[in-house]
Amino acid sequence: MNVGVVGGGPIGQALAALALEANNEVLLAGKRVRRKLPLTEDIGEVGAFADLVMLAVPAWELRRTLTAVRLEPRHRCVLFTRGLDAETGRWLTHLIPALTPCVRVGVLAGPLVAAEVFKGIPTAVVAASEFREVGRMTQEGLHSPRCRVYTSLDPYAVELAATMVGVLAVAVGITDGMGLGVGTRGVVVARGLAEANRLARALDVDPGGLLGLGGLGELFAATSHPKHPAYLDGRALLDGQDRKKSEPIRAAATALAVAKESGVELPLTSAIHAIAHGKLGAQEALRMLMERPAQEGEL
Amino acid sequence: MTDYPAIFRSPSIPAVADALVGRWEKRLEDLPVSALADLVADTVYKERRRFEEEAGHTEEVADVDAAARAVAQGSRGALTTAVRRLVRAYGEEIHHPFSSRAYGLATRVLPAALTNLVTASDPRRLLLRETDPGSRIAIGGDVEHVKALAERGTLILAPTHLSNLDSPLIGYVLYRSGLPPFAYGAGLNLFSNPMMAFWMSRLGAYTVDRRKRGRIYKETLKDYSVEILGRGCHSLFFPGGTRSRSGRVEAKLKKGLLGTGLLAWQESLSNGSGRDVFVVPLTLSTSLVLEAETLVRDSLCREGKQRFIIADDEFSEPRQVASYLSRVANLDEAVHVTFGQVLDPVGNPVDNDGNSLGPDGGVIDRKRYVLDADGQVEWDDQRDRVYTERLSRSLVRAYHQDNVALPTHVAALAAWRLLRKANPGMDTFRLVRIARSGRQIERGALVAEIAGVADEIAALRQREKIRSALPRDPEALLDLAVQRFATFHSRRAIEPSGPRISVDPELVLFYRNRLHGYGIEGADS
Repeated sequence: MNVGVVGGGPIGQALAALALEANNEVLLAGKRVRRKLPLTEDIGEVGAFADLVMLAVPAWELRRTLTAVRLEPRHRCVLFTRGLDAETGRWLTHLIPALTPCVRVGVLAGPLVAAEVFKGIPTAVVAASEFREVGRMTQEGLHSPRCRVYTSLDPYAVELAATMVGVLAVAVGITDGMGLGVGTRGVVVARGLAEANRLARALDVDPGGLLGLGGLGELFAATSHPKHPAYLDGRALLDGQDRKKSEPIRAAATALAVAKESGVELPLTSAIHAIAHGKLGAQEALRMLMERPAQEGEL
Repeated sequence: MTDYPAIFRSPSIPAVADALVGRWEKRLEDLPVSALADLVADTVYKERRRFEEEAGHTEEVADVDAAARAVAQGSRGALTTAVRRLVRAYGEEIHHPFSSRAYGLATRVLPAALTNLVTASDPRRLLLRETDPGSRIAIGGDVEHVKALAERGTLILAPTHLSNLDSPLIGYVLYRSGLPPFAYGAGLNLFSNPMMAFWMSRLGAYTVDRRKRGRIYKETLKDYSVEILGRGCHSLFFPGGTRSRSGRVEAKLKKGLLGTGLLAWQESLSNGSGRDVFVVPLTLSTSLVLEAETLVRDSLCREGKQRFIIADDEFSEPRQVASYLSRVANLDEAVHVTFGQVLDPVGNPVDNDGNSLGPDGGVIDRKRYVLDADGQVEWDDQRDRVYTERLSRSLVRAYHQDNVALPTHVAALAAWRLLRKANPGMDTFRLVRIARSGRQIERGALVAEIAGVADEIAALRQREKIRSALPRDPEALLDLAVQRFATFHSRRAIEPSGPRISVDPELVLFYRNRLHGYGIEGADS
């Protein structure tokens, strides 16, 4: 099968490498790629070449990428992109059929650490789509003795989980940077999952995705990996760096807007958003979170 | 109007029954014997339950008894024979050959027939009346677009559904628009009136018995639809499945029959005929609904107690139907019928040349949704279900965009909002049963609320989210609504009572529901 990957960052390269290992013809669109991969700078060429297109670009670049890749009815397309569409507050997977004739779309998520992929370390991902064939083709595209591909027919559960995991990884980066203990990290993760769970229910999405590869699996990897971009965003925020344009901070803003519409509170996400926008210091945010009224029930 | 080739060539009953049996034989080839036995047992169980509920099915009982014996015996041969026998009987019930003579006669006299269709006991009476309902029916949308595509492929007409009068109304609109006749599935109960049966069976109606719940029957019905679409016969389905009980525009559609367009199209790609299938949304908006009182009462029954088939509503009373028709015929533009943007079986818009269009308006190759790299059809039921879901979302969008807000709907919504405001915290079920004293509204307050609703509708219309046919002046709008509500129902939805306005919460709820789903319902919809 012909697999096209758009996005020359670490994840795009890792996906291209895994697709090659799974015995596919592969073409990666990107620039200045260090590893030896079949490469083109013309995104449109990937569209013409591929049966299955994998998009690993930041959420805010998705619209531009979709125009360039020229998807057609014959394509199946999976997104390894986190967040919700900032313009509409909708699922990123909805953007593809809204902007292109390609309707067989899905989402790809999981604890994929590019550096480990290039070392040959085993990994697994989930491919979720309403179309069973998209899951099957992604299996064909990536499944190999060292990469397992699970499938799901619920893309929204996976998309929401992957979005919220990035936000939580930032939170863990902040608390770690503050020198707080592993107990605090446990609290952040558990309470973060609780608010993600509330948001999922409000959006009528199965919260079960939070326990899968794209949820807990990715969160565990992100918070255990000192070079994970979202985790590093958290550390950088503590140093006073501007991370407003980073993927998880943008995702937090959209999640908050969607939550507000649905009448759901996301205290941790709000705190991260406030810190990133200079409205709260980390210590102050922590104090405010801890001083919230005591609550009954965990979820 | 002579262009009805496909339906005119409609095959004989045995030919259709053979084709349906052939489809089943193919389907059964890959089915393990245990699954085959389950399939037949399912039908035996469900049919026997139906027999218990109604008497007088002698022939059918024999077919089902034979099927029961086959289940007991358990051999593939006996089970296959039982399926063949059942399918043949179903096929013979479902199909009626189209009669061009009956069609010609009906279309010549249809303006009068519409008024008499349901009530006349003698076909000759059809010729006697000369009421022209045409002036009361506003046909909207791009009829030429639909006509152009009728030449290029097989059409599925997918209307919204509120009344049993919708079928004759649509038949008339098709005729007046110069469109060819359509086959349509009509409930077996509608055939119980001999006059209706005579006409419907010759005008392209096929029989759907919604009391038959067995899988074999349901699949046979879908096979029949695929079969006739494949033969180029334009077909009409109500994708909502049944009349909207609440009065709301359909938001959820049944995918079973709707999906048969996609199947028929793939079969045509596979067998080389390449005949396209297009789906035409048709939105009906009426000032009054004959069966409103019964429908809303049913919709207010708690979940699980609603009746799937209502046999004793206003439609079953010929006098009420006649009274409704004659009174509605005296209203200006009482009925709006709007043809929507035609869609392909995957839900994309189609241009006049039959090309599917992508989101940027460019032409796309729709065949690639279902063909593999070698140009062969890739059969995939699961994929097709998702495609049909997409088509159904496109239809629902069209229904809402093409719905025409009329004075009765706007006045009802305004009245309902005021009832809500006056009774905060009361849920819908209590509100419709509110005491008589709580059913009075100040006229001034109602006029002001109507002005507000009309502004919101105007804003929606600006964004092409809805259509409307409303007088500008809210006072005039209220008067028009009052006048129309006074036309037919045994109770008045809105009625002046001295300086105040008296409302019937049930009817107000029903008519207000036509504007549900636009974000203008007011608190607690």
